[in-house]
Amino acid sequence: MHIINSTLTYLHDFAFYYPFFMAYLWMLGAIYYRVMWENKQKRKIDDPPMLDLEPPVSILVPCHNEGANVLDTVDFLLNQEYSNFEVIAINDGSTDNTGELLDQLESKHEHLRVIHLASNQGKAMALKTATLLAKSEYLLCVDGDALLDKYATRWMIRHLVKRPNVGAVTGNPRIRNRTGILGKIQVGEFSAIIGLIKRAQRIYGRIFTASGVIVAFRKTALHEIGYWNNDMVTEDIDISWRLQLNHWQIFFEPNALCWILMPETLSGLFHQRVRWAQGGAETFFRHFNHLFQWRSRRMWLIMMEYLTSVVWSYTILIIVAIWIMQQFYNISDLVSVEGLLPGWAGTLLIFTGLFQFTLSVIIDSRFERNLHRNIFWMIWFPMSYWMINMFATVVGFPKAILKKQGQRATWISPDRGIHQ
Amino acid sequence: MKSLIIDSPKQLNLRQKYAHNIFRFLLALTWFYCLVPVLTFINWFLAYTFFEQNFILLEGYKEYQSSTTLAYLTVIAAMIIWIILWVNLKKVLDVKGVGKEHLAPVSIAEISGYFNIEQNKVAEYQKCKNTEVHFDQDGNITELKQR
Repeated sequence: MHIINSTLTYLHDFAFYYPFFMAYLWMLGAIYYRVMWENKQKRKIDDPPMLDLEPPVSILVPCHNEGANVLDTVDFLLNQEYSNFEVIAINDGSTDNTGELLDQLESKHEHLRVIHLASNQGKAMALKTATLLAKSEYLLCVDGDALLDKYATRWMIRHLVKRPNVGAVTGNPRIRNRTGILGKIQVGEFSAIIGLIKRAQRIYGRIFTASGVIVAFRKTALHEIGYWNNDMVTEDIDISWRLQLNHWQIFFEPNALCWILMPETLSGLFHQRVRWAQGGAETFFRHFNHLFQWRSRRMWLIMMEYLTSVVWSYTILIIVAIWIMQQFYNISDLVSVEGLLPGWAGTLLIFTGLFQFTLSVIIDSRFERNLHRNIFWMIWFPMSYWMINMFATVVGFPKAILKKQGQRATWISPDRGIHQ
Repeated sequence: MKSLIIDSPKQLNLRQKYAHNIFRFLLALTWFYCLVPVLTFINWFLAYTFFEQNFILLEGYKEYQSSTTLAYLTVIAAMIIWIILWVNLKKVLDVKGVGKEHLAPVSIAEISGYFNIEQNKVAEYQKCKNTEVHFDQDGNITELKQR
């Protein structure tokens, strides 16, 4: 009995300490990144460093039923402040008017090319086809509902040009839709969690995901690893891990902004996060054998971070389950957990969350001046982030285990919030 | 063209509006709950005599001098040291471009070989503005057509 209770005490401590110390690790990493790299550039976002010769870039936009968004997306892409680029829009078997809209645009714009896939093949195959037909060594992939900042291409491509071992560069996604509660909370999450994590992960030297919504690739790197896998629910996590396992570097470019739409309903958000959690687990299982080899040691920190987060999710599940049982049955002789309501430790966590947000506002204020206006909503983001991720991992992890091998991933039309 | 930031409460339906207001109220309460310890702490500093009595004479500082607080600070200090050491070690290990600098950009021959399509055809369709692509059941490209 004593062993069970002392184990539970350890689990309870772990449940608290993990998010607490991870928050400080991300903050410290982000501060270091900001001071040592971002500040040293001394450049404004609209003043990216110029290359002596701008190499050709192919901007790939996979679209499936994007009739409502594709005009704006392509319009932003065609306005890139870059001298040498083509835009390739891929209509992946859309059943709405995406194809017709793209054909109309293609006839008007010299830099726009269109590829129609006769049948729906999924995002990975759409990107592979466009890569085959793209003229350039450098590819920039953007989602069909995202708006790319006009300086983003210049900010990202310079890393690929200057460093031959950089295989990909991920940009800085920013949330557009902030009408509902979930939209507002995600603004903080993308700044205070994702922005800080990416900076901190660059400090470790490896990145968990080069976000598929805005990422630049070197075609040679993609060819070396065999391009995107058709059967992964999150092709971006998989390709990020494979590039890094093959010793390609992935850089994060915070100045490359991309304005994105995110879910604003609880079910939409939950489905998206389950898909991300499943994708992370699928990637982990797919590369399990490689990950433990000595040559993959640079990935161990990322792997440990991932595995600890999975263990943490199940720990929380166990604690909550026991706490609920305690409310209905007298099991205190057998097992007992302390209350779930925030005491001193909870308050400390909430303050850590606010501190984290304040830091992200300071770091990100040059991208969005009015970011601090969301601070009223931000008190929820640590709780919502950790709780949603906990539930998503608990559901997504077994889904990855039970998934049939080789099953093709298909397009999922996500909830894109209130944006019409 | 639409604006970048979309914040239009008018588009919320009645249920969403109620949820929004309930959350706003809960949030205000939580803010208040969180601010209590901060306000107490600030008051201590502002009323120095009171602070002196509570924090020093009545040994209130011991609340913050626990082994747990020291453990937190130690771990956070260890993280700072680790980050500084690791970044500088990485600078030594990751020499710019090492390992990949010899790789030539992938050629049309290599890429068309990978996709099992004739090289001439790939070169031709790389110049085409509007292309239609057909696939077999396994997702292999079977035909490229100009539109």
